[in-house]
Amino acid sequence: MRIVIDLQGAQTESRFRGVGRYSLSMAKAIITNSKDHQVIIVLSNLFPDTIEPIRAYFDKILSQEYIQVWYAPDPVLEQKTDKVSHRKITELMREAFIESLQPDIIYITSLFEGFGDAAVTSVGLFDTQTPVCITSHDLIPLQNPVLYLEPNDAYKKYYMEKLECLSKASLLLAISESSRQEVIDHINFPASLVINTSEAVESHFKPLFIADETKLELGLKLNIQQPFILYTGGADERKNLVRLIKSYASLPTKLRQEHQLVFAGKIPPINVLQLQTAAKKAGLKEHELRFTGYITDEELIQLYNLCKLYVFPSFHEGFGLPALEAMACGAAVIAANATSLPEVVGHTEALFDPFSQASISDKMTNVLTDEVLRQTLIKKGLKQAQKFSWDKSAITAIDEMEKTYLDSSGKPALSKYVLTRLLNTLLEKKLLNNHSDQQLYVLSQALANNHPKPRKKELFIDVSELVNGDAKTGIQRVTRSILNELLKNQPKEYNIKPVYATLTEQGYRYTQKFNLEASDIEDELIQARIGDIFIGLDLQHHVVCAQKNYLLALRNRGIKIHFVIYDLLPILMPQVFSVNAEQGHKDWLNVVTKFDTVMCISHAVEKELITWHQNQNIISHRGFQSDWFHLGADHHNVLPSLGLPKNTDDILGQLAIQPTFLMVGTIEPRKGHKQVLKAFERLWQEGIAINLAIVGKQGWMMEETNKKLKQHPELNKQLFWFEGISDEYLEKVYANSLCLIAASEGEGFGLPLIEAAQHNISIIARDIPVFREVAKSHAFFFKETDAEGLAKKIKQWLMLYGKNTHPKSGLMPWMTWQQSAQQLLTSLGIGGQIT
Amino acid sequence: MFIKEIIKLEKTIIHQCLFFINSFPRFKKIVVWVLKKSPKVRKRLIDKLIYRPTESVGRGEHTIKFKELTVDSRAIYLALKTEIEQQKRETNANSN
Repeated sequence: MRIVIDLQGAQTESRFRGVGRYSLSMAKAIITNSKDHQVIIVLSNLFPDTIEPIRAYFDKILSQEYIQVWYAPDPVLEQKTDKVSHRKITELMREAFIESLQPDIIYITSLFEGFGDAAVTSVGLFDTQTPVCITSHDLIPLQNPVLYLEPNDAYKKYYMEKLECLSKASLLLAISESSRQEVIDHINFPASLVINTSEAVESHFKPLFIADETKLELGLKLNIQQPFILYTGGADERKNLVRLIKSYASLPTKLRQEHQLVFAGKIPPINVLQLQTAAKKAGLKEHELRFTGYITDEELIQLYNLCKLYVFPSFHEGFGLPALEAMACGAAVIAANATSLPEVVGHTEALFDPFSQASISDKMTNVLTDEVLRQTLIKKGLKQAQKFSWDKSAITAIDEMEKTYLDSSGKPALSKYVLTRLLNTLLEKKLLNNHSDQQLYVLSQALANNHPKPRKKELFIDVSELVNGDAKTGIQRVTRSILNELLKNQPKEYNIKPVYATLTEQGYRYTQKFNLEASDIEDELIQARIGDIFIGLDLQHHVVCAQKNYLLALRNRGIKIHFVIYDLLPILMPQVFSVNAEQGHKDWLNVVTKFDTVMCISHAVEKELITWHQNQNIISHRGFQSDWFHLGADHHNVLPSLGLPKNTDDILGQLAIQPTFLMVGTIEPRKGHKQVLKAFERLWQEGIAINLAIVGKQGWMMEETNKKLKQHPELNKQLFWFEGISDEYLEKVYANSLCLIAASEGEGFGLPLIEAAQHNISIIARDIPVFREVAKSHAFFFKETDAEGLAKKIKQWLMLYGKNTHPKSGLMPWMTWQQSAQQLLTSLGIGGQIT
Repeated sequence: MFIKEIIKLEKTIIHQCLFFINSFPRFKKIVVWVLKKSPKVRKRLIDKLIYRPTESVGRGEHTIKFKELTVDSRAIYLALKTEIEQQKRETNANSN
């Protein structure tokens, strides 16, 4: 059986109340008790901020592909359409989307959503075949029409429509025996199809040891200075809070002086004002009442554990979850003797008459002054709480759903051609006749998201820099090499799609640039769907930052998003970069570390990233995930640039006369050219006959060194500088060199070391983690930061070389680009060997 | 706020220019030559493009254009548009 759960009850404002908590807990318990059944969670895109926390909540128990998001035009953008049409369209879209998932039963955890927000719930408007199961939390407005329905016609109309939907359900779950009876009595639903599945508390609601330091911190944060009476829950009239305040005010003065009354959790400002006014009228002083505002679950559990007494005076509840939570945490609980609360609390000495101020006040006094009674309430409460469990609730619900499914399985399935049927319905009902082009665009986009055409999953490879300009740095070389491998050897389950974005337009587009066949097709926006993967391979800080919201929306839809990180150098060595570099890099890291996985190009970079991330305050609901892979080095796959200057033979001849030490890389402060040059000047002064060959373009912040190199007396004698030479020439320089000096103080990887190994020349490398990681024991390392120390090390190496005991690089392991691409995919859990 | 806008605009303009240049190989060769010859200019350009903070591009403030739809969305839009117009024509014909 496939159960599709509509979880809008955990997305709307209800998420701050018991209904939200119920929706999440019940869905979780259904998943963990589903056995052979398949569960799909359905969320609305109109509450984007709630999607990632919900995905995180189910992360360990449900594959993300089973959390589906459906799309509807945002009502804010739909102001020109009348609200009724908009709601009708959206209801049809929702039902069509759910039908396209081919459910055997649909379960709505909270039907009464959408008055005053963008949620929509309906039954049987489009899909008339699939049985629908709904949790009926209570019928409070129906039973208290004067309070809830009469003052507001719009709400009354809305409520009556929802009741009609409720009556169309195939199965109703009630959250208590009391609420079950309400449904049977008031909407005439067959009693056999209304099942009490009850509610429960999650296992982290339990008695805790709370250290004095934590108590102090919590007290300071929430402004609680003494023992306290606690209330948490809603603030509408039936919650009876004004009477609670009056009852508190009529406690004996000594008791009041010793106990504050704390209202924990988010209460609308208007209700807070009302309650403060009531307190003032009752003669209470400001410090006697505390409103904490929003608190975390952890804080709520601490408050339950720390309160002297928990009071729940509501005169109408569907269940009364806060009372059970408080009992489970070992709080002494007293509650109203009304509706479901006697079932929940379970013992009469904890009950009072909610309509009598004296009764509430007396019960509070009794518990606060009689420690034996208080301890009895605590013990009985803990025992009572154990009777309720989400597993029990879910197992009962699943059993009943199975029966309903079996009863309905003779009905024909209509899940084919859902989109066509939906378009026809919208047109037949003439719901779109007044739509502008703009509105039709938005609608069409939502429909395309809801009903994607069947196709193989796509692996989007971000090559924005290659498309937008190609800075031709090492990073673009990596991007090109990995992309080439992926295009040549596509993973079995995915089509590789190079994509790019710009600064000005939202969204990524497919690029035709890497198509093997020439094409004039314009670059289209990507149509991402659940199961696709995005890898930010190229580096364009600004574009990624500009596309942050788009990428977050993709992640909401269920597309996994990973980024490759090449280094943290602008943060770790800001002095060798420009002023803006550090902040720019931080901004970019702040964005990319919010997504699924960051892949570093070495273990050393990953360690640096983890250390950096630990000191940041980056909210990541599903936790920070990082890993690393190594780059490839088989450059024969890349077309080499050609060209040799006229004096090539002369120069190479000079290099061959005496041992040549080679440095490869742009002349930048971190690369260590200054130290190496000074060390060689010392060695030359000592009469040691060796050459220093520097291959690299002029970089930045090195004007003095560049000048020195150009005017050096040893230039073209023992010192050689090759600026911007071809790959062909570089090969020859390598062939005529004895040893590579890798003096860089910071690198993401260390490609020159591998190139040296490929040319079988020795390596002297600075002792930095990434060089150790790449070269292992195949290089001679130095830690010295001054010229004298380095000169000594070079002499030491020459002695070892003379005895042939120097580290040899020939056996140094390195990977091909194919292996590198495979390692990247494997680390990201992208299945299937690349073929 | 004003300065922030200017910075954002400046980066966008440079980016658009590069995009334009990239489409014309001759222009591109000249620009690449200049950048090669002048590391300072190259560095300044990289700074402006890469390291200035960028705000996320939003869709809330502007209307969507036809070309900003995906291929699938366009197909649905065209199907709906055609049918709606047909319906309107039929309604007009009937009322006449």
